[in-house]
Amino acid sequence: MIDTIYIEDGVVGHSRSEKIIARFPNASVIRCKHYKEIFNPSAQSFRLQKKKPALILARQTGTLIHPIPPSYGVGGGQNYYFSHLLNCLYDCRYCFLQGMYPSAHYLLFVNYEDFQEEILKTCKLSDEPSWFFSGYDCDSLALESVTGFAEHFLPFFRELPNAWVELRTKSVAIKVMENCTPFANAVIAFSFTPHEVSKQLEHGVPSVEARIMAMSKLAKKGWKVGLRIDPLIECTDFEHRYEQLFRNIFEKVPQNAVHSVSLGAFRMPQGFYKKIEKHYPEEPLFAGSFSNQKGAMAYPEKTEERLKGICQKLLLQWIDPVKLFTCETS
Amino acid sequence: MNFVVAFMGEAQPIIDFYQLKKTQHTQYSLYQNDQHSLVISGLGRENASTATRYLGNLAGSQNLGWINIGVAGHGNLAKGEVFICGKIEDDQKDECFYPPQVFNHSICVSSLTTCSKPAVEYEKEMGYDMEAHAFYKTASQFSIRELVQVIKIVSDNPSSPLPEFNPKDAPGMIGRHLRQIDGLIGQMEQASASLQPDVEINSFCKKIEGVHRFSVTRSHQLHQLVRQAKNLRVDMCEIEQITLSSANAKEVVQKVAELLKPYQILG
Repeated sequence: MIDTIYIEDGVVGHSRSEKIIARFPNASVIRCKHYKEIFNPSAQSFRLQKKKPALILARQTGTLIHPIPPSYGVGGGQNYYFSHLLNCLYDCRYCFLQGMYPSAHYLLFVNYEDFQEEILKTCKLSDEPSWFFSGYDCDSLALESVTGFAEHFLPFFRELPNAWVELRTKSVAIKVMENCTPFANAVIAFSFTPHEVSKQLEHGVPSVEARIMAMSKLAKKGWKVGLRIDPLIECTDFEHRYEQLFRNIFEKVPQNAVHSVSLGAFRMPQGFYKKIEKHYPEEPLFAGSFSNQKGAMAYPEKTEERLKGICQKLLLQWIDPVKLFTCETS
Repeated sequence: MNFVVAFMGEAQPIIDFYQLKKTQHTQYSLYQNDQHSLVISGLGRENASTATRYLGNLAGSQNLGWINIGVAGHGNLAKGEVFICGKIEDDQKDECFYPPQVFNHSICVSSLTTCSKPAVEYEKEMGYDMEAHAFYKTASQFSIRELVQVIKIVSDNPSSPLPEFNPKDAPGMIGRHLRQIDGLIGQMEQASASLQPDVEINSFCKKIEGVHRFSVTRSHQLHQLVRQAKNLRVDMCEIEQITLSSANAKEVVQKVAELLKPYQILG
């Protein structure tokens, strides 16, 4: 799975680095001074690297916790995200990561304890609960067997009464949650598009059916689950496909286990979009009716409202309106 | 594939393997066939860099494959073993290169230091040559980094130091690994081909641009629309008909954009 591991001099000997390297005895291990030597240079091909990404082990010394726009939250007042990992195991053609980073290598920051310290400090900034979202720059669970991320962070958040954590994923690697007791301030959020769209655009992602099963298992065990219908993709038979998707989900997942549902139409910063279009010039998705809307490549406003409206109507047949959140193109 | 090789003794097995012919009498010895070019650079950084630039300018296209092949010292690999460079350092510079290893091969990956003089002291896990760093720096101005690779065959190591190496052995040592290296070259060439501009789209647009006068902006819009039409599997004959029935380039662009609308929803 991983043939090449780059390791920053500063994390050589770190217990997490050692453990990960031991998992890949046949991988070539190459030392570097700083991960940016490998991750940042120009003239790299994201598309070629995606076929065989290397793993970079490094220390995050920059900002560890970032605020997120209010419209991206799911009911909390203080919203932040953090990224222990940059890039994703999966290869979703609509994903902004393809345009954001010059490299497709997995960049893992092994200094989990520094993230935790920063989370503790951030929690103290406000009396109201703070939300910490994981899974913006990676899939939170897809590389769990390598990173041990959830295994390390869930017990940490369990002890933090003033914090919520959301692990966003398309993975079915849920063993960590199956093997521990659920707690109130965690949401395991699964992203979906209809089966027909997933097959065309979500390469390497577990099937919609498998993800629903994983979500159902966690819900039945007592975990709060989230549903992320983001990005909405305009497609043939849109209403029927989304109706079917929601039916399949809510027939398996008890509604009282659903913490929140969020909806967001396809949108992407124009610079990222142009880069991705260059990486995948033959991709039909980028021949879609997107145009510059408020600085982002998105569907025309009317189309976006129509798609969201249809899904809102369909979702409200299954959930309480207070659980439904929409992300705006901005 | 563009090969940059320091000496004739290292080049000869490659010339034979790919049946390259000497093509020009210039400042460098250049060997070519339809697919490959090989330049003999001579010893050292300066020569490697100028020969690489010479070949890059000659090739014309961007994102072709580049390989530097030659013999090198190594701290622990056995004499005759082949390795591909995962990290290239220079004993005179801080800058390092990390050729991304995205292709499938079973060649051992090692670090390498490019030195000003032949190395006499060997560090474990380290190869030593006199050209790779300069080659990589120059070749990566002509191509993406994945398509620039350095492959070396061990000529000397601590138990068999450089003075014991007979340059006459180089062709045989390199030749033994060419079948394996050729597997990698095939993948690099395939990747390079996938990055080249779509000839079909370009020639179709040229045909359309022959009918009406397109400004630079309109020409760009046309290329974009024709590429989208191809991706959406629109019948190109319809675009030709639109072109013939339109009064000018502006009308062509507007009508083709309209034509695509019903196809733009994902299936």
